[in-house]
Amino acid sequence: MARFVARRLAAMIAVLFAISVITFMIFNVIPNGDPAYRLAGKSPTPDTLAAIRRTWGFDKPVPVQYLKTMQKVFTGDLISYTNNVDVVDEIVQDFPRTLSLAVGAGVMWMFFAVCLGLFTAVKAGRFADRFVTVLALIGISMPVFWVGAMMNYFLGFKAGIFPNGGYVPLTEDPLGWAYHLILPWTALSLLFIGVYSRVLRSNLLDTMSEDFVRTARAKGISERRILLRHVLRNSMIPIVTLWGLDFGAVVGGGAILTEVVFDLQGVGQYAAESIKSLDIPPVLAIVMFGAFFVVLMNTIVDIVYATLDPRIRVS
Amino acid sequence: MGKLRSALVVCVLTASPGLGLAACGSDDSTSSDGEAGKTGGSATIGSVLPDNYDPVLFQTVQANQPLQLVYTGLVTYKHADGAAGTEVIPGLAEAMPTVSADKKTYTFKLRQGLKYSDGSDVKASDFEHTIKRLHYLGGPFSSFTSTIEGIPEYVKAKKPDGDISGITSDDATGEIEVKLSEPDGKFLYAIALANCAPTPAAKSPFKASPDIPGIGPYTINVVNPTREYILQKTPGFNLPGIEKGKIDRFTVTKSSVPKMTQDVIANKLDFMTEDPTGDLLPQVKAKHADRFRLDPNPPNTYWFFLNETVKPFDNLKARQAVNYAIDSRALQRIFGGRLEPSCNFLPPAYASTGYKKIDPCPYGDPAGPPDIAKAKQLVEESGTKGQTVTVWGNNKDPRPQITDYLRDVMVQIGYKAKTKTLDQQVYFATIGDKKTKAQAGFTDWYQDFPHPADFFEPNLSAKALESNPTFNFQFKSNPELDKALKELGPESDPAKVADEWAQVDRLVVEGAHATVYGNELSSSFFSERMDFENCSGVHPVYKNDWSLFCLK
Amino acid sequence: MAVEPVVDVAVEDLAGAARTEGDEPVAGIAPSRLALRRLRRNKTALAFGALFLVVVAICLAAPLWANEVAHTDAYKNHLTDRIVVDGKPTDVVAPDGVPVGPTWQGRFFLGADEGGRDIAVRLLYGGRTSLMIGAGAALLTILLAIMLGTLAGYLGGWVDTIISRSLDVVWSFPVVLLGVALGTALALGGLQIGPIEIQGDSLLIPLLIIGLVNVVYMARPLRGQVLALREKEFVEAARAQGLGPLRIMFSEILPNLSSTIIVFFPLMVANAILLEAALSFLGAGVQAPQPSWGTMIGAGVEKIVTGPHQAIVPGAMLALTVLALNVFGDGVRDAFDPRAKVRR
Repeated sequence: MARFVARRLAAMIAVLFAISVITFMIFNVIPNGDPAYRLAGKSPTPDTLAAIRRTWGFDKPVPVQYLKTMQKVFTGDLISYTNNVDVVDEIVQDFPRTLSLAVGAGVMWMFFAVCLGLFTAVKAGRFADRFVTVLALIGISMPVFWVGAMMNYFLGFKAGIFPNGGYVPLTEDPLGWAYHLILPWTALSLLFIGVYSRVLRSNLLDTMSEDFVRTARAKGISERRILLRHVLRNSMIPIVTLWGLDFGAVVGGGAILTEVVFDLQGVGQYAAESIKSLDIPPVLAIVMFGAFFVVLMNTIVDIVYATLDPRIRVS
Repeated sequence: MGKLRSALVVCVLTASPGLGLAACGSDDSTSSDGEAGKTGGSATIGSVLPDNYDPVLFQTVQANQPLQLVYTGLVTYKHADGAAGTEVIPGLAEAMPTVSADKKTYTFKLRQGLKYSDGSDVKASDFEHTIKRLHYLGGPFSSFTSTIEGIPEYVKAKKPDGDISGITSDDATGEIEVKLSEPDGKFLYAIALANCAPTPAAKSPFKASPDIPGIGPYTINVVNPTREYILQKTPGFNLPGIEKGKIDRFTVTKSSVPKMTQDVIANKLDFMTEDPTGDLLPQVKAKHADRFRLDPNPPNTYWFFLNETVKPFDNLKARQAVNYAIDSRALQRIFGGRLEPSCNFLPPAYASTGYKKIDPCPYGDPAGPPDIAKAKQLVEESGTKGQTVTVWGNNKDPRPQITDYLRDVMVQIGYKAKTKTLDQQVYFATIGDKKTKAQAGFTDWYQDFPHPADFFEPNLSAKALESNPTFNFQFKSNPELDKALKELGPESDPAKVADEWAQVDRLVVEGAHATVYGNELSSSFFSERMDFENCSGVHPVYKNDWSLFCLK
Repeated sequence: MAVEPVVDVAVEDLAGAARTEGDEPVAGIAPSRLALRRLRRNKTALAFGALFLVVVAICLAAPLWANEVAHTDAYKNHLTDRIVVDGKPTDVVAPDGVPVGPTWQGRFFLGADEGGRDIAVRLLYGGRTSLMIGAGAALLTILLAIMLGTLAGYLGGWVDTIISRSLDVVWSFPVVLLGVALGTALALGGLQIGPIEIQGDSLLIPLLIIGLVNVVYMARPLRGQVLALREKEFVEAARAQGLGPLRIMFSEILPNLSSTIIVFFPLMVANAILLEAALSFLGAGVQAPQPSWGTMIGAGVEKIVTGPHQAIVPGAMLALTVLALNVFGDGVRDAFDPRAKVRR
């Protein structure tokens, strides 16, 4: 077991290293990206440019710049090109927003997915099943940023039922926090509810045709007990592992669209703005952070799965 | 009322430089009423926060607005509404400097007994220190002071504590002597900006620093560099001629522009430094006209650049064709009505210093329909018909639409055109790079200081072409223009040579060196708490001077 | 995001496909024909499939609409034009910048956008772009996934290690961030692969990015399947016959992947269309002024207060198209999945 974990951790580090190099290269190799020009503002004289390059270290060769930047990521010394801000500080500040969005949405989608999954499995083949399936498919088909924008506009701006985007910190006002996040949670959850409820449905139906269920029925245990006690438990394992992976992906950067639409100023939105303005320090830091999260959740999921299923550890 | 009056009495009695007004309550105190422009109270402002809190490194107007209240220079701009704000008055100096006969030497005398916000003494040598920082760190406005003697040598030496030969200061007497390498009429205008304000040498290291003390009507407290900062009225601030500011405290927060707009509409925010988004603007104009105004301020010009060194716009007829085809009325719609059509290169605000309306405009009345037929004809005559043109623009609203409009016009008159949009952070640097060979695209210029040279020199002169990237996107200059710039350069009062400047303006327009279409109107949008009538603080250099704001 | 979890679950069972296929009581008819029969019986899936084809047809007819009905193209700015709506002359774009809403007439049927362009025309041309990129990217994904999955699964060893590790790296990279980063970078600088130069605003760039980014979702399950198939008797028999690895991969492994691939295809197209919309919305996909549903939604969201139709219309069209693909894809999966009997 320990060897398995050690191997996964080593793989994690290798992957993170590769990702950091790729990100750095993407932005350093393209033309028009010279940050010295932009920092020079209205004085792009050769002297000013030289001074900027010296101050920021742009005059060093690319591998050295990479090492220095990565060093700064870990020492928390990374400064943005756009507004001279400590990038890591900024990420730490933005992270609770992204986390609020992800956790809230995660809980919401899991809850509704289980409800709908159970409902459609029980009513399999009947009209209610088909109807909900189509609803689920609609949820998967609508782009999250469009749904978010529509909700924001109709429910927020026009009807005034919900606030028009923005974020209130939990520590300041828990009710306001939740109130501002209801629409974003819903928008983000729709997609996952659609997917998860259908996966759960198919898992449930498969499990229900297993031998042990027949045995339980023969023993006289009620349908409901069978469903909730035995079948659901068995079918949840793949769902929970999926949840881990998707949650990691959302925190790692999947929340970007929802954050932008609702102006939550989370990590994803910061990434989007930084990428557009070719501000390398935040992009590098966020990608590293996001990838770390994704890989971490992946590893945790793998380890959990391995503890549940000994066969996997050997592969 | 009794309590208030006694508080007032206490204030009057104890107000003295040492104790200052702090004794009279700073934060959310009650304020005196009666006179126009209440003093006191606090206000909230929504802003895209400063790009840098270090006074020598900021670039944006959102940084300029707070920092000009915190850092006062040897000379500074008058805190007054409208054109009066262009006057340069003494700041930390006792009086305007004496200028030598050859116009190359300026001698300042520092006021006695000045102290920074941290209590340390203001020393004459602090000015040189600031200029050193400006050039050592490569501040965005450093080129404005590059005429000081010894700067090139200082920069080359790369030693932060090297000496700038052109500046000599005597801390004992408070005298500062600045020698220029050539007469420069813009010099005083340039050092009146916040980035040349003296700061304590001990607390101003040679790296970007957000907490440098200054001396001004307000002090800044950066609560969170990307979310919030607070401006607090400086107790005991008393420099003659400099507005002390009415509102005690400004809390400035970041949010998105649409949210800001809604907050000001709902009176949750008192002011916003940005323009309301195009989306909400019609609503604001219709329903809240009693606290919303548009001014062509700060003075600015919007035009399309046409690179004169590459095809097809190296051809004069091709450039003229584009000029004939531009319809300012269409562009007005893109600006949501916030554009005043014009064909002059200088903005109308320069009426006393060089703007003379060119009438008739050589390429048709800007407020009237374009002449597409003539444009097409000129394109044919020029022999450039059918050539491919890439139209450049950036992604700040509404520039993508402006860029697309130019593309459409190009297609109409006979070119194969497509657009290329860059992020606004990298846009100007990219098109200003000779290697890019950008053929045509969007550009604009907002004044840095109220002198016509600020418009002509960076955008059209040969001198500008010495840098790369440059702001002269024509990549060429008219020799007559360069000659005029050289002649008019030393004159520090542009009003005296307004006619000559107007001539330069004419030269630019008639030679199709800039396809001007108008001047943007910027908005000042206040909540109902603010006294819109008396204190809207529209300032030509800072857009809005917050020291002029007051509550109702 | 829509595909990955479904497939992960299905794969474990597809690996045992051979086992359950043996239970199939109908003898003598090829599984693929059985599948098609099942599909034909699924009226809902067929209806939505037809809907998708209708959308495709309408979008392909874009030039027809543009020339005959709207008399403009997708790029012309009509900022200062006036048209007659309900007998009244109206500005296409009012002086304060507000565009006209849907006129339900030939010109500006669905209204104008803030550049004075005909939304209906742009919607159709945008549809062409979105569909083309979606289908193209999906094809690219499938081809690459087949290649990589088969090579990694069958050959094993260091080939497998390299491919799997690379897939791991891409998998861990937050997908949308990678897409936005690549999209932004390549839009600025264009792409140069050897002698081939692709312009920054070419539609190939979003196509390539989306195609590449989605490979991981398909390559892994395919690899898993190939690993299982490799141990099958018929493959062993082929090896004993002396057939080379490439031949085996082609003639034995590949055909057995076909049902997986067929099931994947509509879902990958739907995924690709959604990803293109997301990237274009963020400004890192299709570049202005080329219309695509994503760019139109992006522009519309910014102007949602003055002209909500600019955002509602392209989004609804997108959702409808993707829904059609998803329902049809669902039907395909039900038909081709050997465990379909459970679905009753």
